[in-house]
Amino acid sequence: MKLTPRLALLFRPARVTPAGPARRARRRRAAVAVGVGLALAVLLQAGLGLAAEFSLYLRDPGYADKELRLRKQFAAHPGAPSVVMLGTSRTGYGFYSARIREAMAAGLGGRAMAFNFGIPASGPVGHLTYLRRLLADGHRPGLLLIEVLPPTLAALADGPLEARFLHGERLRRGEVETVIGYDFPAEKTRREWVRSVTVPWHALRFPIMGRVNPSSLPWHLRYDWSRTEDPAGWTTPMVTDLTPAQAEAGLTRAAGEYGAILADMHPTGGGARALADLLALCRDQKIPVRLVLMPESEGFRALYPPATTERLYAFLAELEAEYGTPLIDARGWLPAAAFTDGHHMLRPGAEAFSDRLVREAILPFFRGR
Amino acid sequence: MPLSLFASADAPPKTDWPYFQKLAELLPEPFFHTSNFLLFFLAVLAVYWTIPRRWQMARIWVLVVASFHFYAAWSAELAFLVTATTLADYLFGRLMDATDRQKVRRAVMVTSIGMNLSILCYFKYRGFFLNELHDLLVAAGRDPGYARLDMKAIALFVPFGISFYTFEAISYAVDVYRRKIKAETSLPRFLLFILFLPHLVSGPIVRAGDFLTQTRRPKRWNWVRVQVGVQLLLMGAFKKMAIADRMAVFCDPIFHEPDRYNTGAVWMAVLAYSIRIYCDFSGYSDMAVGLAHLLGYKLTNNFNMPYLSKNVGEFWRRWHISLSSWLRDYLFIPLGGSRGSNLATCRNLMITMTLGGLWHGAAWSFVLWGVAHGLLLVTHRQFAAFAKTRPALDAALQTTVGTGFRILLTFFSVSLCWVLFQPDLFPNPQKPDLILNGFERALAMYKQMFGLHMGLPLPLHNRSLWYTAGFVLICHLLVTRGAWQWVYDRLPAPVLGAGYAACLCAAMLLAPDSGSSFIYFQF
Repeated sequence: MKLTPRLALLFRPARVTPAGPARRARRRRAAVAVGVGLALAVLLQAGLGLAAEFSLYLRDPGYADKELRLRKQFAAHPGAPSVVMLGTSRTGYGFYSARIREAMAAGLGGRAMAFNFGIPASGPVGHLTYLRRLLADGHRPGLLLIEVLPPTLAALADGPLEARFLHGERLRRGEVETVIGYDFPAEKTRREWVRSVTVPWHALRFPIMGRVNPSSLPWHLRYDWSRTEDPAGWTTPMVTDLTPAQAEAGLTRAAGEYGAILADMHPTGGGARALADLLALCRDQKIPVRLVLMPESEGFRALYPPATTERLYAFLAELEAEYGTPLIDARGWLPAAAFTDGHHMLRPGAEAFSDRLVREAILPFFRGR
Repeated sequence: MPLSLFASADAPPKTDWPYFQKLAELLPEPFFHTSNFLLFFLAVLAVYWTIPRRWQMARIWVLVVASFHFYAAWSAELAFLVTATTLADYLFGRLMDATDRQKVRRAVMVTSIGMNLSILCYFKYRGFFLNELHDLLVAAGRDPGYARLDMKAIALFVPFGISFYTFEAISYAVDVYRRKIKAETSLPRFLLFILFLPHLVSGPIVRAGDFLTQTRRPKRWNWVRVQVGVQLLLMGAFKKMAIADRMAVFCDPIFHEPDRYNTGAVWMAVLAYSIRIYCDFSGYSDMAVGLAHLLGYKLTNNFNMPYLSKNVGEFWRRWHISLSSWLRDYLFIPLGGSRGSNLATCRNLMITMTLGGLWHGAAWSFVLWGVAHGLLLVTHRQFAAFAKTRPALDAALQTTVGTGFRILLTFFSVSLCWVLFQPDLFPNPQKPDLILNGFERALAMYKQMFGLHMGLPLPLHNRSLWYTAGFVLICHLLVTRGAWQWVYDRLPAPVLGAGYAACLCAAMLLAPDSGSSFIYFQF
């Protein structure tokens, strides 16, 4: 068959010049460099991915740092009555654990241990995950306080509120499907986890950089929350003096964050189910639990319409009835001056809240045992 | 008048064809450093090199199809538009070669240039000119009532890379007309010249004479070339992800709302922007050149450490070399270049740089940026002539200290000009106080810089900015002194490979929250 000239052009053999020894050596060097580079890149990715799967120190520094401190506290106070509070940044600033431990020790006439396990932007799904990790590591508190942040119970279009912060890369493989069961966006969460093991140098860059050079990251990406914590997990509030204008601006910011959710909140979302499962887990593990509604300023409480408040208390009453977990309602315990933004406590607020918590809830619990 | 009266659309029109919709899902962004693109490119690479070497034309077709799909994933309709104009340019070229009649050849060349410039103006400058026209009419008391039109319905999206491939097509038409090259007879080769995916979206602006000859050489797998390609790809990715995007965190908020920040922060933002724009565009160019190398093609080098230039003229010989040489060959020299009087040369410089500014963006800020560079070039020209007649001054300027001073002065002048290099923004309901006009924003920047103003500090701790600036400076010095090449030649291959892996991991690790688009994609 005779090809047309244009088609024949397709099959025309190319002219090739033979390579000399120097050129061959250069090519060999290039091939080795590219090959080694590729192999090492794959190895480095796989190595970090594997390390992250085994160590939460890389994957979830917020949790890992807390856990390490908690371990030290348990080791420092073996066998002492212990109270751990799981919560959000509200707990982080408000549960003054060292002060609580001292008050407990004085009240109970011996040693005591109190630990603040407040992690910012967490919620019931995160708390359930953390408790499972803690139990797996052998930590069992004498009393577990669980903060209830009402907006995290809401059924939102994109899953629980905490799904916006508890990304797939912060979870272990076995935890991914669990959080998806609580309405976390399935595809996104799975994809984030997969990326954290396939390209961990990119997916885990913020936790890593947060450890290596935190000042190179903006605040919202820094995972070095633990830097400002004391050994008992309490985060010392950075703000000491607050002008009324700053407090007002803080409240406005908080209202922008939560106002729309609270305006028509139904505690029926994945967060609400996770809270129930968390209480069920505690019941199974025979861990005494108290739910805590943290203090809020009058201005912040005004964000709750009556119907929302009614639904919230009805839901918590149901939980109390089903799991026997009393509610500590501290919402009205503190005046507006005790907060930076209507719900995060300043130091005097944390002291007042902690003192009252010990007096009205923790000491009666341990004395009653 | 609202600035967005004739605004460009935010996103390209959505295609109705399911095939291209699927393609858009697979390749959502035309960025070289995204995982989706790299997977796409690996597939292209695999097919390309699997084809036997003797089937060169088949390989060219593979690249043409891949390049078309790369563009069509982002906008199928615009991909067809680019292909159609390329076909037209091909025919114009053939037509020019088919006749010896100078008048006909000239008419065909003018038609080709006219077509390309019309399309460029329609998509890129339509809004700008209509806005100006509207302003003029309103000022004259004859409101044409454009504000009543549905602007969203008539908004156009500026095709990515339109300024780049328009210039390539124009240079081809002019070169064929001048008989510098023969018109390309092979359609796939010509399609590849314009559509070649490494340079399609943001340059470098290739010349037909350089590129088309390469398409005729059969490509064979060459490890040295692959190494160079991988190296450039990694270097570009590092520049973009670890430096440019990181610097954007410092400068973007300040360039958007300068009056909220203090004087020191604004000055540092200018430094950050200078680093950012260099690493952003040179990083993109490195990646483009690297990708081309992996396919066996060599694109022109677009940057040569421009911030070490000793004067603005040298800066333009080192910055965006493919554009500056294009402007020199197809605008400055035809205008008369530096052959005429001093005044004529200065005029030619000003015209060239002003049009060069307008090429970058349809806004007065870009025009003024071009004017500012024109003035700098003219000033330098006059000063150089002045210094030449004063040997002592000339000798002082040639010393190490003098050279250092000149480099710093050039960097300072260029950085001050970058403040003007800002597009107009479109109204953002969440930020009603935003200054929309690029020029007004630049003025606000200058006001903050040259007055002592209190305000917010840098958005991030400045340590990171200084580290990055220091790193860029050290890299420049190592390359200039030849130290890098000396080390590179002596490094054992495995160590070099380890360096590549480390570079990749570092780029990934240092990338900020969300990668920004390439600055030059808007042009």
